Amino acid sequence: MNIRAVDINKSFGNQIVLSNWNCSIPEKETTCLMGQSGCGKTTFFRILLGLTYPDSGKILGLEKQMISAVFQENRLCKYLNALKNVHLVCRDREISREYLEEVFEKVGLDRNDLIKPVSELSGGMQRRVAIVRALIPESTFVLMDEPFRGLDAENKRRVVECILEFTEGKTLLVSTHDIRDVESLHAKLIMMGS
Amino acid sequence: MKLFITKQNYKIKKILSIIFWLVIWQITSQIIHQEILISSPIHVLNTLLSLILETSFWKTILYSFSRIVAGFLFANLFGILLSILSFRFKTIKILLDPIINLIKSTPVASFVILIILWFGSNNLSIVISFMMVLPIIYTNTLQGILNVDQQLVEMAKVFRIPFFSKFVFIYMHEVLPFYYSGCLIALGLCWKSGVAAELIGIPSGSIGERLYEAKIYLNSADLFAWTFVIILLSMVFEKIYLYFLFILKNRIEDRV
Repeated sequence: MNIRAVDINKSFGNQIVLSNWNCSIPEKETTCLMGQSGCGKTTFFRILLGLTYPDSGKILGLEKQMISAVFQENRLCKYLNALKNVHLVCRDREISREYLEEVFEKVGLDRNDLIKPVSELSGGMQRRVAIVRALIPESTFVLMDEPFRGLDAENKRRVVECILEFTEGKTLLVSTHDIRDVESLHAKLIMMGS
Repeated sequence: MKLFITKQNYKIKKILSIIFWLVIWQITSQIIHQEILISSPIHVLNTLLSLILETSFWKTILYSFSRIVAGFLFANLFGILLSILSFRFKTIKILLDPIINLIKSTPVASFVILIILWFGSNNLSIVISFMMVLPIIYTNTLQGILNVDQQLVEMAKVFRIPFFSKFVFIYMHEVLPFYYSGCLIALGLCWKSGVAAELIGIPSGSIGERLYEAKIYLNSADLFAWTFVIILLSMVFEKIYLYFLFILKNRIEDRV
């Protein structure tokens, strides 16, 4: 079932962020959301994540979804290492250390990086930990708010490959400012604020 | 290696500074030369050694220690519980604020007299220790909870992180430094206020009573010896309690 936003309105004080916003996110496909800064992408993400409520309108098709996400900020437990950050969101699911090390290797993080507290990793490394954290847990709907921010070309390529591999058969929504991401992720495009 | 030497140097300097002040104390007592006003460290040490051999000394310590520590632990339990409730329910916070401020600003002596009037002096140090520690633990823990990173709380909500893991890795980790610093203040204060309360209420068999006797008989050696015992008890309990917290934190984090 597609996830549909129907006549969503959201404002903060006098500032209207979303006005009668409608869109459909196809099930088990990848969709890129593009638009100028401040057009309401993050607000829409927050509504989908259940972190804020629309003033009016509704979201359909979210009821049975298991959500995981990459936020605009990394939102990692800084004092924990990368492995523990992933384990933390996996609930009761047992995930072996070897498997996680393999996944992290795919995004360019070696074993030594994984045992340090994430606060000791660079911004780009922390971003990759946040991405892996969204890919590993059981989920049916993955949201990524500007996931490639702070990544160089090589690491971005690795991360895209990893995202494609791990989100196969899942609904993926990615917000981005780069039109090339639509192609590399084989995604459908939704423009906001135009 | 360099770090080791620096640490060792620091320890040596610390011991030397203690020896320096002991020497100053000894010289001062020799100059004044009046045991009633200031006993010499050697005399205090002799008094302490003779006290240690008495059974009543250990009974007195047990009496005060158990009460002051009980007050401290109860205050911790209630302080943490109330801070969680205050965070969760604004009405409770609004209701508690004036009481906490009242306890904070009321002199210990006023409480001591009230407690003696209401309950007698037997459990005085429990109540006073409790009342002095409660506002510190409550305020610090609440501040810690308010300081928890809301972005992490949202992340936990999105990923449906179980309550226990969320409590340990997000809340406990953020709140613990605040609670720790509260404990550091409260641990010293519970002993000071507890013994001061005993000194006013003079419950039978307490350290306060022994201090009172030292005052009555102008026995400064006893006064110094008992003061040393209080400092020692306070320091030992502080170290044990903080170490226990450290172990507990590590155990919980390893288990989750």
